[in-house]
Amino acid sequence: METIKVKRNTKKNSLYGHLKKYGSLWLLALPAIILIVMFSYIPMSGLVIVFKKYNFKDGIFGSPWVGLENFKFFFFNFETAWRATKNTIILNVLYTVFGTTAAVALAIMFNEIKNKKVLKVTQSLSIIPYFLSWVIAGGILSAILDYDGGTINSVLTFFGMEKIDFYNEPSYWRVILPIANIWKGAGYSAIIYFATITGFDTSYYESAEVDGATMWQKIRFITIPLLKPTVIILFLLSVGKMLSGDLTMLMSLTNLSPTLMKTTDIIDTFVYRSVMGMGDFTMGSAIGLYQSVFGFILVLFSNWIAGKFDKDYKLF
Amino acid sequence: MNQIKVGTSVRKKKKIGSNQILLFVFHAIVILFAIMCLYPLLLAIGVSFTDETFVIKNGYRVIPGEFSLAAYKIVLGSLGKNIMNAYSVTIMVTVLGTLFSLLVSSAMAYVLSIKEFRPRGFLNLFLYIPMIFSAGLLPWYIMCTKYYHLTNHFYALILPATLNVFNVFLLRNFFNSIPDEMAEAAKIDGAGYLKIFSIIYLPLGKVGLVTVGMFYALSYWNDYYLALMFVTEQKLYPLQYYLYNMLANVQFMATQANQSLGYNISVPLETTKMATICITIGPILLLYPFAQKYFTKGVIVGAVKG
Repeated sequence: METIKVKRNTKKNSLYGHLKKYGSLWLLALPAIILIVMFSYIPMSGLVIVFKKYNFKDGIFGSPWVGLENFKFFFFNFETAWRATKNTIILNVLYTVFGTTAAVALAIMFNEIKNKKVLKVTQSLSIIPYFLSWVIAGGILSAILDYDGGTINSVLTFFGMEKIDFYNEPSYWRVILPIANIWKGAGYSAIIYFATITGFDTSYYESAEVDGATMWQKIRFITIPLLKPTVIILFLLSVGKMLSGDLTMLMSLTNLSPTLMKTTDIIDTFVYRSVMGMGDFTMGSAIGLYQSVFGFILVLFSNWIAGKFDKDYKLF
Repeated sequence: MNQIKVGTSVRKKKKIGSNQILLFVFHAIVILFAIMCLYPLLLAIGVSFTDETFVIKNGYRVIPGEFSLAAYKIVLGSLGKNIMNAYSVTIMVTVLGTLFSLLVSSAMAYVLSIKEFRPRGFLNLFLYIPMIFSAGLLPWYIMCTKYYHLTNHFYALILPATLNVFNVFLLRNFFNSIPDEMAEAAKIDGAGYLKIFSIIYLPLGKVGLVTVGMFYALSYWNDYYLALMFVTEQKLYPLQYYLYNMLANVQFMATQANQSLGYNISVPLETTKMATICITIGPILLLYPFAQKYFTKGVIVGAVKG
């Protein structure tokens, strides 16, 4: 009781007392605070650029205000922005659905494999792609998809079929990109799901065994239902990330090739091109703003729903 | 449940068959997936050791149709110096960046773990908000280049990436699990917060620090985003960015090879690309078995603790 009384007095003595006691803590936290302010919060103020006519000399804060004029321009040229948005969402949905399915399926299979050697080797191999950069993945992908001698086309010609010009045909990339995404991340995610599965209460399985359940029945009626909450939460949370994409992935795999942009231009690559002077700056800033704002709303929404679904899931 | 027991003994004999089939299918799929993950690497290695004209005529194969060290002669020879330079940039960035990140992150995590520190809640929120609302590329880029003048500076490859809030929270959770009695005892002995941090929490949190350190190290090593944004001088190219230019820009590669030779020769493009990729992958594959353990453990802990 005594200590609490003392604390209250110190707080009443305000800032000086607080700093005297906790000064070293603030010192420890300072570098992190400065970095976050510099690279996360201050750029937020730069969002006003959407309402200005930006010129390089005056910078963000010196350029003149033009109010909503940029938005007029944005809506008149909406098509490319809309295409970028559509692609972002479609790809993210594909990544989430197929990526999660692959990871969960792998984890379930890993769990049933009792041969330790096979398990260890396959698991180790399947997470190697996670450690490689997209640049490396992109370089190797070009060897696989190459029109003249790539692996896929070699196989096609061997069977007397026609070659496919992957790098000039946008429609294939709605399949190629999710597959690449699975290649790179499914093994790694599978490890996490695998750890979860191994933590399940074995008594469920034992009593099922006694009742003569097959492996498939055990998976269908025990493993999958137990995994459902985790998977659903992750699905709900992925809604929050629906508008954000991976610039490095797309750059490495497609080199931002204009012929493929119909299906591969996402919001992030769109903004990147406008920043680098290859696209329209005004459009880039407008689409960036709505990516931030809508992304934020989506995250709040998805977290709220996740909280409703599983009361244990708390944000703060 | 009990009713099913009757008649199970007859069914059991048939069911064992279906179990084995399923298990076989699982084995097959898993092994297939593992091969799919390995195959691209084998392809890169195989092509890098192949003669260029053979590749052009017959395509990319895992097993070299015609063995040749020409690609490696170029990569280790005329490109060697530039690659070494890129390597040294990346190594410096990774080592310094990881140390700096760990220092800043663990300090912050420690502050966040001290229960009697009232502003804790505010700081948690302060760190969390950028995770859900981001200004986006454009304002960030303008800030960094025009106002912070990061272009072509070495620390541009470290500073923007120093803090990963997720890692900070991970460390915070690690520190939370260290019993308070230790800090209490030290306080009685007259130690201040700084001392408690360095003498108690850092050593006890070693596992967490190593795990988070590996996360940071991997992201620094593989980064080419920061170089893409801020680096235009080749002497500052980190490894992945150098590789990216090699792959994306045929011109780049041709000039690279010609630089040291001084006359125009035809560069075996495809095999050189693959050889460069192999040189780049080398360290990761070597460190991989060692790192794998920590990574998987760390990720599991992180995922469970949320």
